[in-house]
Amino acid sequence: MLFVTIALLSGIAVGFLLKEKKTLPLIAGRVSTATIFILLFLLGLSIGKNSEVLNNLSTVGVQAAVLAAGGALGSAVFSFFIHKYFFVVETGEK
Amino acid sequence: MKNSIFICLVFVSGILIGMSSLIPAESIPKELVSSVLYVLIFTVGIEVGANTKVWRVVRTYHWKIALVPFSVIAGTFLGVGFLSVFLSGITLRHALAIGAGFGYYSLSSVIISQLDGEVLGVIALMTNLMREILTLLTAPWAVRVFGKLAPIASGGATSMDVTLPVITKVSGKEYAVISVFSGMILTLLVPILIPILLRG
Repeated sequence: MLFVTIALLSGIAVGFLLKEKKTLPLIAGRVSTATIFILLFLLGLSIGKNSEVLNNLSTVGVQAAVLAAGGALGSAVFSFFIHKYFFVVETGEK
Repeated sequence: MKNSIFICLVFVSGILIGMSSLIPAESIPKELVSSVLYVLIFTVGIEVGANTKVWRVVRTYHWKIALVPFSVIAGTFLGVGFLSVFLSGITLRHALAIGAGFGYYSLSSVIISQLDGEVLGVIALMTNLMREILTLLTAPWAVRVFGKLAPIASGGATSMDVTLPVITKVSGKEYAVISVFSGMILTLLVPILIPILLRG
């Protein structure tokens, strides 16, 4: 947890201080894509060896679908009220 | 989107190789995974820090713009928290941690499988991937029913990149900056909120 925060904050600081260097976000983007590939490959590898996950894939799928719908719908409903009561966008609508 | 398909292919090939036992599980040190994870979080920080456009948006819209990511956090937690009651084997804490991925399936699944285990990691991966796909598919409908912030909200952290083109199309160009801002704040919160929710 501490390392996560340190990694995140030092990343923001480096990005902010070197924001004039146009290539930096590009390099950072490439590196993050590469690390995502490595991490998901490794996660897949350990899942392939985990019979508990493989045997319950349909249950897991249903649980995931329910949670995905809950998160997306809950957010959309909340944003409806925020938009209605607080937001004035350039077009002049309230 | 092209990237998402490629990511899924990498993940699935990992599963297949894992099942075939070509590589023994013991050969992957846990420290390697966490070190790569820190590199990922560091680069996510760089991308956010270097994005000057977003910091300018805050000045234009004042504090009100913060209400957008706030509505995503509150709405997500209420939605998954409520539905977790009906799911056996998923505690409230687990559901909130999975929800705190806000659609960022790669990062959230890796953090959750590190902190809790592969089972919850896979649920986090599928939940957040489905959230991204759901946002892409339902965006035009969401705008009509819940207003122009709705696809930004349902996109969560993905509203800064993957779902941004669709959001701009259905909500309008003037919502693009709000979308990037909200996605960025939520992206930053993913690695912070998940450990707090799972361990706190």
